[in-house]
Amino acid sequence: MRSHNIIDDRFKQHYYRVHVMGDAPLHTDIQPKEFWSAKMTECFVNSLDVYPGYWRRLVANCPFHGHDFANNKFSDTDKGRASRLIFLGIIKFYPVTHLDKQSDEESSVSFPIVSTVKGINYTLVPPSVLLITSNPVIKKFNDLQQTARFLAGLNMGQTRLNELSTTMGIIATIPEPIKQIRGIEAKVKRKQKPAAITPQIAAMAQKLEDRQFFLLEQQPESKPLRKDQEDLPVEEYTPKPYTLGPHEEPGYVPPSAVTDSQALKAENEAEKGKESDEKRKQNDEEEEKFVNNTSFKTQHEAAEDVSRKINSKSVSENREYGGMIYQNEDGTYSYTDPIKGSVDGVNPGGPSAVPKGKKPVAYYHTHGGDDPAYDNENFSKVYDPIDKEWYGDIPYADSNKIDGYLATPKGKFKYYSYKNNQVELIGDL
Amino acid sequence: MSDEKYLDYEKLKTFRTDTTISGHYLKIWNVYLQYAEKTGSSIDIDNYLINFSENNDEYVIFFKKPVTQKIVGGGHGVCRINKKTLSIVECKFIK
Repeated sequence: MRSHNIIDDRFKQHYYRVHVMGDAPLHTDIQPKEFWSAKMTECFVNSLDVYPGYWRRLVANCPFHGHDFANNKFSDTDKGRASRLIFLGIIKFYPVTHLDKQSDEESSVSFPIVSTVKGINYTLVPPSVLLITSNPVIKKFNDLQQTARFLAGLNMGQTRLNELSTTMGIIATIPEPIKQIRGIEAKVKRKQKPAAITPQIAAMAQKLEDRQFFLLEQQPESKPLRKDQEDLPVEEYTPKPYTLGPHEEPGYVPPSAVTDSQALKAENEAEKGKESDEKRKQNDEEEEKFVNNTSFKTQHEAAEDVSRKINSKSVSENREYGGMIYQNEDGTYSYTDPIKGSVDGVNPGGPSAVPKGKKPVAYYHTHGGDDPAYDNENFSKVYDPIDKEWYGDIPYADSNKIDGYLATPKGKFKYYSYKNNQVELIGDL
Repeated sequence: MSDEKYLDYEKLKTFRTDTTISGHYLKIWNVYLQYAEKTGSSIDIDNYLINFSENNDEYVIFFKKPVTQKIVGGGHGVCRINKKTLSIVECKFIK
């Protein structure tokens, strides 16, 4: 199902992203659809496929409700007021071309992905994808040379190159601008000696440079960020000498993965048949695996580090993530891997989730996306008259006698002290 | 009913029995429904147990989302409706 702010015409030929003045800015160069007359606007509005009450809701959410403009060419209905706001440019429609001629039932459009050795994935997307992507991170290049060098450095096979070229529509256009492509290739080669910069790669670089396509960046969650190395293409990466891990040293005894009580619990659950094997496998995959052997001087620093790493993913997926902060024997602090929760809750694991011998001091969690139905920016607390109990973030901290951390959709980082029963804004992530 | 990670579907089922409710509370429920429609609420009401109560000034609708684990947040909600004006005083869900 499409997002509620993506609508299509009645014949599902064209899709549009609706943007109301005051909404978060869109990260795209695409120009909104233009309307030159009231008649044209009304015809366009009539052609759209929307659910009953859509125009009323759209106008109600708009900072200007369309009542106060002295333009009587539009009818005094919700649709008429919406048409007026569209005509005035207060509500805009951006064409989402990559969805055109696709019905909701069809599988969503997919775009080719390329990877670097660092594990960063780049998805090659047209500009209209940026209209429907939350907080897109785009790979930026200074000039054509850098773009071509980057693409060449990815060491893609010919099949993958052809796949990307086809997506960019380059195969059909090669005969026409072949001289121009050769020129780009020569220009790039004059200044450096990269891996093979073929005409195909040069043409792809030109498309990226012309902003006809973008590389959407996705940081790996499975590895900590390395501050000492840039995001280098394959041939520029120099691996460090291999050293033995603790599990490979003589005399190493692997720790038991689960305690007896946990194993018994898992066995009981299997007997009850509450979850199918597939569902359990899916849940396992949902847990974020960080290589987390870093320790921090304070619990604030540990919580901030993991919250910064996971919050953007939480927002884009509209899913909560959470885990535990614990104190090591040497007085430093670390955190457990983030666990993926649901839209409105997450089980961070509780004190029993921290490694043996460590002291649980706090939990951390994110709040997912900015859903208007929820109180997104605050620690939660609500009294349940059915069970006569308090529920939410604050009661969870109080009952476990640990502090709490919250990363909000707007990037605020908050702290709850169970001892003082106070919430403190630490800052922005 | 949507598939949610922590939702206690068994508990939700146990409340689906013959029941009697005041028509007046259904009238109050209608106030919430209109509000939810107007604001485009994304709440899936199938996942909730609903409790009606009232004090001197307000009707209170409590939305409880039964869960199988102890979690932070939880998705519970409270909607307070003014008795005289039947207008929404506060309506929020927690996460």
